[in-house]
Amino acid sequence: MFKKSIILVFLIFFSNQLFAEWTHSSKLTFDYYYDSVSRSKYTQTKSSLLVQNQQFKFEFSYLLPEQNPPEQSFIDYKSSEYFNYLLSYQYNDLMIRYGKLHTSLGKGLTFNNSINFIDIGVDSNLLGSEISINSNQLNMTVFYGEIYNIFHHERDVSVSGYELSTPIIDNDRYSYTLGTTFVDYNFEEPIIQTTTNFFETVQPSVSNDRNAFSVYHQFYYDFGSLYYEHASTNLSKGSNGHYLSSDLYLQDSTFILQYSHYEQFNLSHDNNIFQLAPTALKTYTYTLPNKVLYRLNVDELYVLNRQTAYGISYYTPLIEDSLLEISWSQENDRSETKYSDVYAQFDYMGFDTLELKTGYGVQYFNIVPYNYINIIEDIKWNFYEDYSFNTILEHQKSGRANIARVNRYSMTFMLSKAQLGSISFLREGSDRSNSVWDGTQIDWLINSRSSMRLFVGKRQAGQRCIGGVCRAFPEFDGIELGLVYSL
Amino acid sequence: MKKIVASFLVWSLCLVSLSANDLKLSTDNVSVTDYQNLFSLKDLKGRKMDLKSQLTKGPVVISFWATWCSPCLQELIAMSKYYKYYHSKGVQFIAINIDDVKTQVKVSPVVRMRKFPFLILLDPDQKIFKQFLGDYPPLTLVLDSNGRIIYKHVGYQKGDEKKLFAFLDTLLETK
Repeated sequence: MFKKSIILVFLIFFSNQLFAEWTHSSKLTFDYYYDSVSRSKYTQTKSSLLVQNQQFKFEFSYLLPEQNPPEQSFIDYKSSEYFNYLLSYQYNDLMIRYGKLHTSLGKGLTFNNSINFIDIGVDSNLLGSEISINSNQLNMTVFYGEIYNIFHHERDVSVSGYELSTPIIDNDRYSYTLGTTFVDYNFEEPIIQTTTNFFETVQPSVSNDRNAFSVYHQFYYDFGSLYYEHASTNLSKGSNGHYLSSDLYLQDSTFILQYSHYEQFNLSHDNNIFQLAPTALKTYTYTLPNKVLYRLNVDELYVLNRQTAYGISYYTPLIEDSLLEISWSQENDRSETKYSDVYAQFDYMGFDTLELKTGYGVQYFNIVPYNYINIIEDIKWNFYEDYSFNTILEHQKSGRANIARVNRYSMTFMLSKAQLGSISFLREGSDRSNSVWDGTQIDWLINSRSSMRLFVGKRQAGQRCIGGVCRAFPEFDGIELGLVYSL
Repeated sequence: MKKIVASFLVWSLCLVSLSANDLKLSTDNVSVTDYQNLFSLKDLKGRKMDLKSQLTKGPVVISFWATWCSPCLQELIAMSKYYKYYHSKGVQFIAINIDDVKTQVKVSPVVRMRKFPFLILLDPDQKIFKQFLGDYPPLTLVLDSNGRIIYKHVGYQKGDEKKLFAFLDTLLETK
């Protein structure tokens, strides 16, 4: 492990000499945390190097942890996964890639491993190769690789697939593109047989094939766009998925309509989900609506078995310098409503120094039944030339009519100065246990190449979400320090 | 722990060394191979757009953003106020969206409602974002006509755009 790091250090150190005619950039991150709840501490460095010329590109990164990353906090990879590399070759419309890569087909119904968010420790890279042609007349992607199994800690699922699309009509006013995707998953699966004595016997594993095929249609026109993809699999008769999204422009307003329906469409193995199909449910940007347990990604395992979801969003500028968003989404299990939410947010930026956002929404679970009422106030005051003070207040009331309701709140106060950094005071609390989680965070832009982030205090257990991808984190009480140098 | 501290120190030395070399490259005007051909993405109407066609018009400001990233939107709003002025001087602006398929449906409405005047390109697999070693948006870059990075800024706080505009002013003066 250490040798690889030394090699990469050598490469970076002498990169100017070795790659004199090439462009290069590099980055070093250093992370440390100490958690008094689990009495654990953790240190890691990650170094990245990118070297490229007109045709070739080499990306390397190496993670050097002090110990195995603690569960649920960072990517739980075995040591062979700490070294990442990607080699690319491009000539006009042709691109060939080899290494640990991210890609998706269509809207991800059949395959999507594009998720890579370091902040929440989620990386779904594929070790393999990909050839793509991206021209005005034809788009083609073919790939083969192996997926990391987070439960077996090895790459034991092989996958190959392609996407092919071509514009059928393309003029200034509208266009229509027709595309198709195909994926074949192959993995070993043990046969488990239960005897009459209730003992389980595990026999040698057998090779298991799962494949999926989809056709999609993409329309663009002056007043909006429409996308529809239909996929089917060989899992069982009637196993299929549909996803539709459309945006319609009406003067200054916009409608977004989404529909998804998945029937026995679970392309998973050992709880590893491969396709990450899109859903019509709303994605929240604030803290408390995301901490609702139902919205865990693992739930997609169930969701993809039988799910129908609808989503409608409406955006309009009520007055000048404002934006009103109203959205509704619902998920049905067969014909029964399982989850629904409604949310409205009004943004106003018409004042010289004030920016206001206010939101109100309800999330409702029919199964429990349980509901969450969310109120959000986000006020930003800009003063002097470069200073701003941002207050975000979130309140969530949860429960049902016949039992006592629980109040939760989240408060963020952030003072920031341009090109210097910010200091934030964060508080989360609940009246159920009279618990309070306080923390202070400093983000300091040391210079144009380096920055530092320091968090001291407590953080409540719950989900952190980025771009619709959520991950559950345990309660934290301690120190987090992060340093980044980049060139 | 010793390994970590040792590696951290070695890395720091490397970066200091690279930093010096990097400056030397700029001041000595050493020819560096460009990025131009490595960049081709689709716009909101599904049409392919390559960086080369933009670089021929002048320096290019690139901002990587996402619909779920509030600082990104603030930065684009701030940049759009001065877009006309700098665009008339030959500066090109490209806002590259990195929303993946889960949230990409929001891109068009956000662009439309916020009236962003920039060329909007889509990078759903973050291929180009990673090419510039991006971890988290917003990431703002300025490329010269050879496609070299001559300005880089990560994150956004109100007022950060002034640093970018000051850089562009200096660049346009020396042109």
